[in-house]
Amino acid sequence: MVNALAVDQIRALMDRVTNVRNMSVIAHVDHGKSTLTDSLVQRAGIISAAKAGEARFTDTRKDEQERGITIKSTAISLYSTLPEDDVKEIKQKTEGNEFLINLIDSPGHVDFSSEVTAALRVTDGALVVVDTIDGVCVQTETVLRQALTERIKPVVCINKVDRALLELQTTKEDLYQTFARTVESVNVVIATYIDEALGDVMVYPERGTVAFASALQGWAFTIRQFAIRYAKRFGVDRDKMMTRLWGDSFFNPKTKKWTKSEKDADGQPLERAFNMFILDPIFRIFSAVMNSRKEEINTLLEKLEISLKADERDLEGKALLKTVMRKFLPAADALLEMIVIHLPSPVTAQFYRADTLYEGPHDDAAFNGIKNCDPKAELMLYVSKMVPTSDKGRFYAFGRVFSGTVRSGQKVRIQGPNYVPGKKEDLFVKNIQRTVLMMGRTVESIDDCPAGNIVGLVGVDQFLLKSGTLTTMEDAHNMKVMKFSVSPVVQVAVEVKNANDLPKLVEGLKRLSKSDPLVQTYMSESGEHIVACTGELHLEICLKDLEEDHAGIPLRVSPPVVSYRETVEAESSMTALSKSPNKHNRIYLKAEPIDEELSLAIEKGVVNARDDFKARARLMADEFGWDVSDARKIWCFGPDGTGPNLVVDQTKAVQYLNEIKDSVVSAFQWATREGPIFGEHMRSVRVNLMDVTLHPDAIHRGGGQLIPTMRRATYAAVLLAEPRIQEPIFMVEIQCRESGIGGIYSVLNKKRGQVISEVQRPGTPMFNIKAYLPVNESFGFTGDLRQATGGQAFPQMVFDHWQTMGGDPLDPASKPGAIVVEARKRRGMKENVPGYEEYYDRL
Amino acid sequence: MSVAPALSTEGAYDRVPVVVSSHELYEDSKLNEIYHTDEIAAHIVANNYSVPCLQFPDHLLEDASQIASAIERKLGQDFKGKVYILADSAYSPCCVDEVAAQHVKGDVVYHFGNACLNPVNSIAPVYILHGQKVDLVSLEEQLKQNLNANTILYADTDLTHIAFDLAQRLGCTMALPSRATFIPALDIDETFIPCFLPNRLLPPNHSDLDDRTIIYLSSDSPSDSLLLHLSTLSSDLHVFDAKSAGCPEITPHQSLRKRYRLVNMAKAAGTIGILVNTLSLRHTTDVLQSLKRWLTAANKKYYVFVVGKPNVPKLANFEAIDLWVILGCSMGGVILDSGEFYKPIITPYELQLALNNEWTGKWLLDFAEILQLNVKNPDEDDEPLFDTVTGRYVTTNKPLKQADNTKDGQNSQLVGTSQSLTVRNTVSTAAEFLQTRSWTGLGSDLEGQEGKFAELKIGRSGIARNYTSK
Repeated sequence: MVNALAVDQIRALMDRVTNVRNMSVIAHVDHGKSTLTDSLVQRAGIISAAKAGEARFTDTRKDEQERGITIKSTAISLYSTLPEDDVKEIKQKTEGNEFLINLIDSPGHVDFSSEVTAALRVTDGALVVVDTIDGVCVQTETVLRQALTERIKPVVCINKVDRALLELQTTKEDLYQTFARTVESVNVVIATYIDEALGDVMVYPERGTVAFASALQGWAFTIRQFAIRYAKRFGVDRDKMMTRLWGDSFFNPKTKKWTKSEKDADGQPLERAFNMFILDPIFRIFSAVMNSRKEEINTLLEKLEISLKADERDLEGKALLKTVMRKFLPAADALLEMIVIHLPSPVTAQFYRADTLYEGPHDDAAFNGIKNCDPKAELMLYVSKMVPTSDKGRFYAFGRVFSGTVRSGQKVRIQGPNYVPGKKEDLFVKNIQRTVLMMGRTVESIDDCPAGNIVGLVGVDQFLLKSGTLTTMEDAHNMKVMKFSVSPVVQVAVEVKNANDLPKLVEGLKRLSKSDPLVQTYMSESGEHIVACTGELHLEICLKDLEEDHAGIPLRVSPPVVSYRETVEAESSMTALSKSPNKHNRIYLKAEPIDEELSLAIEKGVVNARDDFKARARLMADEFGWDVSDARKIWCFGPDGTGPNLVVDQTKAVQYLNEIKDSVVSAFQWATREGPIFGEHMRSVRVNLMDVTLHPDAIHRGGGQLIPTMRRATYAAVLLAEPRIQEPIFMVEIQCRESGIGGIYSVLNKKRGQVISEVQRPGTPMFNIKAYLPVNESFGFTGDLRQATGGQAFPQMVFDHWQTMGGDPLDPASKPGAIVVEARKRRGMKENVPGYEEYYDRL
Repeated sequence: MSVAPALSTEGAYDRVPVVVSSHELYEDSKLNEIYHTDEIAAHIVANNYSVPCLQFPDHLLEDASQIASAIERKLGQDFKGKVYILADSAYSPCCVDEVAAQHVKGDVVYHFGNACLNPVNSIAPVYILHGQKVDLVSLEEQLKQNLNANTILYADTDLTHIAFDLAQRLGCTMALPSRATFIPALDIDETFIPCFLPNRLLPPNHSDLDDRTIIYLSSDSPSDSLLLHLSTLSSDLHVFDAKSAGCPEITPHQSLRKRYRLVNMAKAAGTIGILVNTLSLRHTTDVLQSLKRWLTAANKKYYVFVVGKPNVPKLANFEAIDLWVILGCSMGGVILDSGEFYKPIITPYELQLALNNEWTGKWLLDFAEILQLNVKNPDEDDEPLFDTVTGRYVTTNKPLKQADNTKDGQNSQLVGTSQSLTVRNTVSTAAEFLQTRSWTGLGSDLEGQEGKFAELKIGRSGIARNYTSK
C-alpha cells in the first residue's frame, strides 16, 4: 500500500505541473494493458515484483478479476525519478528529475469504449499497446482515432514479444518485419488524423516513441536504451546511434562500418543492426534459459552485468527467464522513460487542447486559464465519470482540473450538460466535501489539487448524472461534452417481479446510469423501463450490476431489441398540406433526405445547432454542397434540438412567420422524436417549409393551432417521400485460423452479414475477417460462431452505421414491414401504419 | 405567395351533418313505455316543481322535443312553469349539468341516458332509467361462461333493469346503483352498503372478496377510464357491450403501464396545469384545494384552467405547461389516450402517486377517496431529480424551490445568476418560458435590426360618424 510519505511526495509534485504526465493505456482487448500497467504499479511499490504480471492491480472489480478483462477504467498515480542525463532529453519545460505519472488503465473490449473516451478526456498522452502477433486490431484503430480527435499524443508499446519467441519461434528478421509492419499500421491510422495543432504524432522506434515489451515477464525496452549502451561502446552520439538501430541500417563486422545496403562488398548478406545489437542478446538469453544451458547463461549474465541472488540462481525455465529478463530490461524503466520524455505535460498539452475543450469564447478568463494551465486562475474542472464508493449509491466524481485549484470545502458552481450560461437549469452552487487521489483500489485524501492533475471529488455526485463542469467563475461556459464513438443500440426492457419494487428499480437505474458513462436508461412509450447498451457484453454487465448492486431486486428481462430510425428516400411526391384545427392556418411542407455525410457530421457535432449560423452555413456549403442561403435558413435541428433532421425555411414574404417559429420548432422536436411509422426517432430528414398561410389575428395562430398542424404536416411530408426505416449495423472483426473461415462465412450468411475484407496476417496462420452485421441479427452471434468454428473464432462487434433497409415499411409483407408491425404491436399501437391521408388536408 | 395572407373563408367551418331521425315518431304510449313520461309528470306535480329541466345525451336528442311536449301535455293547464331541455352539456353527458340548469333557474334535473351517479352540489337530480332493447338470450349465453361464486354484475345505469333480470336468472350478485331518485323507482335492499365499485351498492359481505370477477354490462361503447378502474379492482374483468352484443378486448396491463409512464413524467414536471373539467361535481373544489396544497408543498408551479371540453388545440395553446391534471367525472371526464395531446394528462390520484414517489398498482378515480389521501412532505434536499422517462437529471421539477437554490449570499464571488421572474412574490414559470422563445411579442423579431421602420403618425380620431382627419 502507498505509505503516507508517498502521498505527500505526490501532492508536492502536483504543484510542479511541468513534471506531471497524464496518460491512458489504450489497446484492443487482451493485448495486455492491465498487465503492462502492473509493471508500472510494481515500480511504485504498490504491488510486489513477484506478483507483477499476474495481479492486474487496476482490475478492481470481482468480475474483472474472474473474467480477466477490464470493464471499468481505473486511475492510479505513480511517482518516478529519472536520471539527470535523461531529463536533458525532454524537449518541454521541466523542473528537477522527479515526475508524477497519473495513469488510467482502460478496458479494451469494444463494448466499453465509452470508458476509454472518459479516460482520454482527462489525459494528454496515450500508451497504445499492440500485440506482436495480433497486430493492429479494430479496437486499436478505434481508440487511437478517438485519442487523436481529443488531441492526445500517442506512444506505442508492442507487447507479448515473448510469445513470438516462445510460441512462434520466429527468426530475428521475421520479428523485425512484424515490428515494422505494426509500427507502419499504427502510423497509417495516425496519418489520417493529421491535426496541425498537435503536430507530427507519428511514432518512430528510432526516436524512442515505440517500446517493445513482454508485460507478462515484466520486461521492456526502447531503442533509446540500447542506443545508450552502444553509444559508449562505439563512441558515437546517442541520437545517431538510435537512427542506426532501426530500419535499413546494417553493420559490417569485418569492416566495422555502418551501411544502408543489406549486402557487403562481396555480396554477402549483412545482418540488420536492430537484429544484431538488440534482438540477438534477447534471443540468446531465451534459447539459453529455455534449453537450460547453464554455462551459457552464466557467461551471458556476466556480459550483461546481471547479478542474480542465490535463490534466483536455482530457478529454471520460464521463472528464470522472467527473473533474468526483468533484471536485464526492467519494463518500468523503459516505459516510464518513454512516457516522461515523449508525452506532453499538462502545460504543454493544454496549450493546444484548450480549443477543443472549452465551449465558450476563446478569449475569456476560463479559456485562458485552461490554455495556460494556471493554478491561480478561476477553477475549471471537468468530471468525466463517476466511480462507485464503498458507500452504496454514492460516487466519487472523477475528473481533471484544467484551470485553477480545487480544494476541500470550496464552493463551486456545478454545471450539468444542459447548463446554458445565464440560465439556472442544471446549475448548482455547492461545497466540495473532500478531494481525493484515486489510487486503483484505494483513495487517499488530499487537501487540494492544482490545475493539470486528475482528482476525485466527494460530495458533488448527487448533482451530476454522468459528467459535467465545475467552476468558480460565474459566467464560465461548459467544457465540451464528450462524444462517444459507440452508440447504445442494443436494448432490453426490464421489469420487476413485484410491483412494489418499482421505486427500487428506479433508484437502481439512476445508479446504473451514473456508474457507466454510456448506458442509457429510459422509459418506452408503452411504459417499460429500457436499458440501452453498446453490445451484448456491456448489456450483461449492466444488468448484472443493476440486479445485484444498484437495485438489489430480482428482475425480469425481455429479449434484446434494437432501436431503429425512420427516414425518407426521395423528395415528397407532392407538397404536404395540413390545416390547423380552426382551418385558418395552413402549412405546406416537403420532405427530402439529407446526405449521410451531413447526418454523420451533425451526429458527431461537427455541424452543431449551437454554432453561429453564418459559420455553420459556410461549412455546410463548403463541405456538404448546400446552398448557402438554404443553410442560413435552418430553423432547427431535431430531435432534442441537436439531431440529424432539419427544418429549412423556404417561404417567401410570409407575414407573421417569425411568430410561429417557436411553435414549428416545438412541433418538429415532437415529430422527429416519434416518427409516423412506428414512433422511432427520425434520421436524415430535411423538411422544407414551402409556404404558410396564417390567420391575421394572433390568437388564431398560436401554438395551440400550429403545433398539432406542423406535426401532422411533417408526418404527411415524410409519408409522401418514400419512407424507409434504418437499422443499426455492427462492424464485426473476427480472427481465426484458416480452418475456421468456412464456418464464419456460413454463420455470417445466415445472419445477413456482409464480409468486407479477409486478410491473412503476414507471418501468422491467422486470418482477419471484417464484416457488417445487422445488430438485429447479432444476438447469439458469438455463440453460433463458436459452435461453427469449434471455439476458435471470437468476434469483436462495434456499432458502425445506420443502414436503410430495402423494402417499403408500410407493406407488412416486406422485411421492414414485418419489423414495423411487430414493434407497433409491442407498443400497443394500431398494427397498420396510417397513410399520409391521415395527416393531409385537402385544400 | 407574395400577397399578405387574408383570412381564408372558403370551407372555414365544417358543416355539421344534419341527422335525420332514426325512427318514426313514437306514439304517446310507446314514448311512455320507453321514457316513463307519465311518471315524470307525476313526479313534477307531486314535488310542485316549476322549472323542470330534461337533460339528454346527444344520441337521445332526437326524441327530446317529443318527450318535453308529452310531459307538458300531461301537466296540463294548471302547470304554470316551463319544461326546459338541456342539451350539448358542457362536460360529459353522464354528469348532471348543474350549471346549465342554474342558467334557467331550474329546480330539478331529469337525467336521461347513462349516468355516472357522481354526487352533485346543489340540484337534486332524478335519473330516468329508460329501457333499451337488448338481446337477452344471447347475452345470457355469453355471460354464463364467465360465472363463478365471486362474480359481481356491474351495469350502466340505463341497463339496470335488464341487469336485475339477468342477475336473478344467473344467480349472481348485482351491484345496485347508489341511493338516488330514480324513475321508475328502484327497490334497493336496505342492507346494501357502498362498496369499492364507483357509486354502487353491494351486500355487506361482498366488500372484501379477493379474487372477484366483474362482469360489466355496458350500454354504449364503454369509457376507457371506467374500464381501467374496474380492471384494477378485480382479478378478472369481462365486458359485454349490450349494443353490439360483443365483448371488446381490454388490455388493462398495457394501459396501466402507460399510466405508470405518465406518473413518472409528473415527477419531472415543473409547471402543472390543473384542468377543471366539471364544476358541478360535489368534491371538485375540495379536490382542487388539495391539489393546490400538494403542488405548493412539492414546490411545483400550478395554473388553474377551465376550458370546457378540452381538446388538442385548446391545451396546446398553453405551451408553458409541462403536464395537465384533469379534474373531471370519473366516467366521461378523464382523458386516457393523451397521445395526440402536446403534453400528457393525468388524474389527481396519479399526481398523488407521483408526488409521493410510489406506485400501488391501483387506479382510483373517486374524488371522495382522493380527498382522504395526502402527500408526504417533500425532501428538503435540493438534489436534481433522475427522470426515469428520459434517463436524465432534471433540475426544473421544483421551480419554486429553485429560485433560492442558485442564490448564495455567503460567498460574494458566487452569487448565482438567479433570474427567476417573480410577479407579486410568486415565481412565474410562464414568464420564464416566454424568455426562452425566440419571438416574444410584436417587434421582438426586429430587435437589433438596422434600418428604418414605419413611423408612428397621428391617425383619425373621433366617432365613426364624424372622424376628424387631416
